[in-house]
Amino acid sequence: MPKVYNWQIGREMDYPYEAAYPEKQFGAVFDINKCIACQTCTLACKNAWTSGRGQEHMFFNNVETKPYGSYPLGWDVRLLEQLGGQSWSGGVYTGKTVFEAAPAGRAALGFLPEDEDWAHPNHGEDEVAGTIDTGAYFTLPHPVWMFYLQRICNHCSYPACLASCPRKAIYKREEDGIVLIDQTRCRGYRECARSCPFKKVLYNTVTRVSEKCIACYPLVEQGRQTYCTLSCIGRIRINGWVNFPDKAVLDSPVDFLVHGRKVALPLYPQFGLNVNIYYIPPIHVPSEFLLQMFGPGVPNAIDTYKRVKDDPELLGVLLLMGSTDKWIEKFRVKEGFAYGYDAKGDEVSRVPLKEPIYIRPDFNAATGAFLHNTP
Amino acid sequence: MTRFSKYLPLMFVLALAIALSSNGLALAQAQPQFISAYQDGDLPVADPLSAAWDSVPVYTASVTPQSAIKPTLFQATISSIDVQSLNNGKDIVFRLVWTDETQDLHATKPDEFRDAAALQFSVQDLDAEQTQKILCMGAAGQLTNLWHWKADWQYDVDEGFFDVVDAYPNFWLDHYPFVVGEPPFRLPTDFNSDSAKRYLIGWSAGNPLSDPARVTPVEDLNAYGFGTVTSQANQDLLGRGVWQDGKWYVVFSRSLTDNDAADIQFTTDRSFSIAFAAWDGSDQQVGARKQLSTWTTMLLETKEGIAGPAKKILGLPIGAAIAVGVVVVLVILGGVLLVMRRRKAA
Repeated sequence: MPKVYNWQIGREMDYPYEAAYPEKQFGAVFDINKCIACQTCTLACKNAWTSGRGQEHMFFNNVETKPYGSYPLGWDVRLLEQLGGQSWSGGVYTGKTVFEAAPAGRAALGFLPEDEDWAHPNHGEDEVAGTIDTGAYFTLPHPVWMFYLQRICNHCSYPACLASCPRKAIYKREEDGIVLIDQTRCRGYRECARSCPFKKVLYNTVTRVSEKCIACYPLVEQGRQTYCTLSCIGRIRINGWVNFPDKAVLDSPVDFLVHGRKVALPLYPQFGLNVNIYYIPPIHVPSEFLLQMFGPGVPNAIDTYKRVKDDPELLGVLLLMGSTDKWIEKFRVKEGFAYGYDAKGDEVSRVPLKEPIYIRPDFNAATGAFLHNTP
Repeated sequence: MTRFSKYLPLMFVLALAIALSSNGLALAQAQPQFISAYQDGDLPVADPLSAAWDSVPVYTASVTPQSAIKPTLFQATISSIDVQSLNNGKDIVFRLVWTDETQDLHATKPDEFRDAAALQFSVQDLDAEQTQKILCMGAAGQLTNLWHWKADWQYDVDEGFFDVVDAYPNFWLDHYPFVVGEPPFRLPTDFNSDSAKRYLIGWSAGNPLSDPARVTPVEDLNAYGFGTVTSQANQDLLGRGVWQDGKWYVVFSRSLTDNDAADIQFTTDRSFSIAFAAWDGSDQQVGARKQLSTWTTMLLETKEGIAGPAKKILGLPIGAAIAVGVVVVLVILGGVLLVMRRRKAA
């Protein structure tokens, strides 16, 4: 089996195909700290792409509560259990990826969710990790915690869905690395649904073939960000091109967050797919859980994130998130503002690092009225 | 001379004998084993349970789990398929019968797979040896024609399209984009406009798997290697499958010849390489997860008798006989050599 380099696990690994990289790679950063699970992203996506007959159970984008939420049911814990112990030595993953742990006759380790697993998209919603004792109070990290995990297809550099399709009906676009299923060639075998660790390939119950998140490619082609990103009221998301570390473009927002400041981390890097959606981990959650979910970069990411007030560039990029529907190719921070530029170099966004503060006297002599907040 | 080298000629002779005898076996295996019987008049093309099948010779094809390409099938749930065929000089019909305790009619729920069966033909007129070399699913420049019957298509044809409202009886959704009619709505009628179809991507993309208005349970396909199965533009197969008492009875039919170059043409001047496969839906068998047979040579019976290329039919047993004869001569020769050496040594 060919060897490919996966920078997220710090080593080479087995993959059924030789390495082949797109000209550019679609990516995104989601800041978990800012999400309130309003599901506006979920509905924006649903309305755009999965409102048809046979797509009722489909959420190309969903937001689930961790630790107990999951959609489909147990997508993560079931695979983690199958994979067995996952150990790291420094920045190198010493356990097995889903490709290296593949059973005989299969391209990747995995399972096909059962029908009932798709029945409860809000399973575990808002449930905290434990019980709250009398007299409990908050410390950091929180002794009793939960957080929201926003999930779309990771448009992986080494997709397990693509690797396991015996018909090669799944392909990665050369121009932007978006992973798509050819709807004319798919025959509904569901090998992809079995192998995708994130269970983001979904079977259409009416057309009897599989579908997946398309990264809103019609928008991306027009230099716009995805619906889930532009509809986010918490402004937790940003789309951008993402590169391997040796080719990082540090004035590009996603590369800056992933490679420059290293505050955004891959989801379950140990699965070995070299994912392209990155998460700023929640600072209030105990590190044991986060280390398993986001790998060894967690302590550094949280530490950097907590010092954001002293880091104008980082602050600037975080403020550019959700500030425009346009695709931000490059950014710059100067004189108290963060600027976003499109591919032509035109300004598409400008945000102040600090909201201006206006102080007014509480008595208006001209009208003789007191100005104060009246509830 | 060492003890080992003394026996070298004998070992050579024996090795040659084994090689030739296994070749002889291969030749013997490639003998015609399956005949499409001639019958005057109408054929039981729509009735897999017709009494007309009772008198037709049965060829039992052993099937084994597919293991040549990922994903493989680990354990067979079907071990053999009973195959019969009739032709009347105009049309041809095949019947496949196999044991399957579970009747899996649908592929609607995300974890649901249907039963299925297929016939495979080498489109080109290859001899048996050439056919064995192309393995399953054909090869570049060596097209195969596949006739694939699906239990879910059969249900759709018999009972109407099996919709989400059938799979989930308590299902309700108020609205779909551009739908007409009243909830809970029905495919294809309530979704038949171009605008509504746009939300049924597989259907609007022209994928035959996604067409809710089916007219046949048998798909006409071609393949030229693993992973290349492609539905034909011209669908000209008929068929019908009935499950009864733990067995599937499925008929497949077509005219003996047609104008489609991608189709197998059942002409009287050749023999045919045919193979069989079956899928058990309750075991989640689909695609490469299947039981399949090796290639079998099929001959067509006509009003005048068995048709086909005479030299090939006669050639194979003669070839096998020659191979056996050569083996016997070589073994005797080896024995004589051994005896002579021993005498010399004594």
